[in-house]
Amino acid sequence: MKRNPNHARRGSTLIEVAVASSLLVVVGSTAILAARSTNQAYRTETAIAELERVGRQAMAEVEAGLRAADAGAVTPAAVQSPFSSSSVEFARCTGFAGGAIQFGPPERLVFEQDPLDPDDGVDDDGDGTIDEGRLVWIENPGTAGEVRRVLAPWVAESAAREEQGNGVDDNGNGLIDEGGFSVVFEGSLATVRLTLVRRDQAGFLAEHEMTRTVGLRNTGLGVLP
Amino acid sequence: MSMKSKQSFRTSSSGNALVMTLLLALGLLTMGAAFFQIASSGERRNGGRLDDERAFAVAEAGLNEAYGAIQGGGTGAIATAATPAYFGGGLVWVEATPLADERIQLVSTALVGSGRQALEVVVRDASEDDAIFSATLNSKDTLTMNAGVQVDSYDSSVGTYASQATNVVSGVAHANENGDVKSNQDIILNAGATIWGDATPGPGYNVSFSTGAFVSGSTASAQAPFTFPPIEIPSFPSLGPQTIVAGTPQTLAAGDYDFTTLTIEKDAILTVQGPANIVLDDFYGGKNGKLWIDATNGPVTFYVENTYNHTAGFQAEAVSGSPMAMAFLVNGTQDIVFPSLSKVRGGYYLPNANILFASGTECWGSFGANKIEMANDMRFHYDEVLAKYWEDETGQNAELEFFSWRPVPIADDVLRSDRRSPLAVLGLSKEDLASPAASWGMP
Repeated sequence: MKRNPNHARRGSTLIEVAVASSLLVVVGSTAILAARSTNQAYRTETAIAELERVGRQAMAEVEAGLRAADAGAVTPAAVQSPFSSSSVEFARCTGFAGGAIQFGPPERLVFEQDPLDPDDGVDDDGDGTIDEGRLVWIENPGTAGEVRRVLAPWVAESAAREEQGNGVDDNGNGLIDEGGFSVVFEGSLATVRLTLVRRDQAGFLAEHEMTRTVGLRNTGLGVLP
Repeated sequence: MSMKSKQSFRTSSSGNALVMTLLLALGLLTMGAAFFQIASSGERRNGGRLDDERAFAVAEAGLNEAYGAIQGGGTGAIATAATPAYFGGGLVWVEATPLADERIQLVSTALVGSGRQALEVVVRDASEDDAIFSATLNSKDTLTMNAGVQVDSYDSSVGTYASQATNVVSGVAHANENGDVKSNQDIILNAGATIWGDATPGPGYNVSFSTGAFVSGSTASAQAPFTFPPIEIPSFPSLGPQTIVAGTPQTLAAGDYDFTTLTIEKDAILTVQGPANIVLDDFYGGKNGKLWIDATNGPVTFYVENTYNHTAGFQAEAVSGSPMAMAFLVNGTQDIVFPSLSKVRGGYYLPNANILFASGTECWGSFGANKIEMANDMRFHYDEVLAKYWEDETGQNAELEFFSWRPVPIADDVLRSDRRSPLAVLGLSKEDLASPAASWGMP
């Protein structure tokens, strides 16, 4: 009944070792490939999620600002599809006093070139994207009291799938040669588009595009938009 | 000895496996916890943003409820901060503060999850305002409808008046029955005068009928006298006088103009392209002169500070676009006389003067004046497009007039900083809270 200890400790045959090694190689390779694929997917999702997070936060601020703006004094108000503007100047309502609506100082939302990557068709800052810029909110633009705040970095020079300067609506959104940040007006409605682009260290290029239509509530016409 | 040594080896080997398993499990647990932390922090960020968006929507819903409350006779207040209304999974209340000139400041505060939002608007209930082109004839003074005068309505967006004047009564054709007339005093219908619509006299006044006179609609008195809103004349750089001479038709492109006088001489033709606002001190239309309005892209409004005159045979009408997209708003006190055989289309508003229609005149449009007098057998045709057109274009007749809109900070420090569920923050139970519609503040 006693187990022979020599039998329990018997060594593996060469065939067993070879089979086990082969299986180990196959399983190991599969695991490495799966891990690499998962890692790439994770990086992709992370990069896009980061762009989406930045974009949503910026768009929320843009929406909030434009909603309270004076629809009758937005510059340039005449920009209508198929043309667009990469900046918009406005003043927000600060209250109602003395029988009249009150507005704050002028403010501007504008696409500005990244200082390290000027508009020369070259990736000057070596970040993997060419001539990218940023969305900047400027209070009191051009005055001593000017205050600047970057709402979003990584703003693409051109909107997604749009080639600038060819006079064609490449991406079929009704606009010609629009930039990564663009505004179009239709009455007291403003349509804002933002395209963010970023390349990670592994060379993956993530791009995220979003569009919002905002009703400028202070129409001055006695009616809501 | 040998056995002891082997047993000891086995014991040691089992322990290593246990330690390795535990380390592996710990590693997996740590990684899982890290992923969970990352995921939940992202979830919290997204949830917070979503709650802010929901709070904004609920605050807007609170304002909409307040608008309805004002139009329904309420103050505009909805619930209170102490007892908010429950709506959209959150709490909302609207504070209403009366301002000068019948304006009301509304502040709607909404709390949804961790979201907080307060919006402020200033509005005025304009439902009692009198629309300047809401009826065929609006006369502050007694309105006498002379013998044989007929008033009816038609819809120019459907077709010509002739194509709609298919209802024949006693041998006389008429179109629709929205040809209302209004006065702040009596309305007197002489023999055979016919109104296909309502005749509304002022409060305490009546409609009187002579033989054969007829009103198809209501003759009930108004609850309150109507008022004519003042003409707000815009200001543009003056371009001096402008005279259009015969044989040289001219076109005025869309835009804003200020002429000291605009004279369309005998047989001259002026075409004005809309949208246009034209400010004048005085207007003169010569015999057989023509003022054509191209309203394809918008209406044309003439603001006349002093006098309006036109002679027999002068024609003013829209030749494209809405046929009623022309209005003369005359601020002066000098009466306007529409000479014999005039054909007039559009809106004429003279809050400080009278209109006198000579015989044989046929009018399509709407006329408001201090007093309106007319010859026998005249025909007035109210265009049902007119009220709607000017309402859409200018916002007139809107139930509420909006002056300002802005987000404001939440007034209460605790509500602003404590981002727990609003019911928990305020110590309330949703079963105890009413809906916004059941929480109107009444005067």
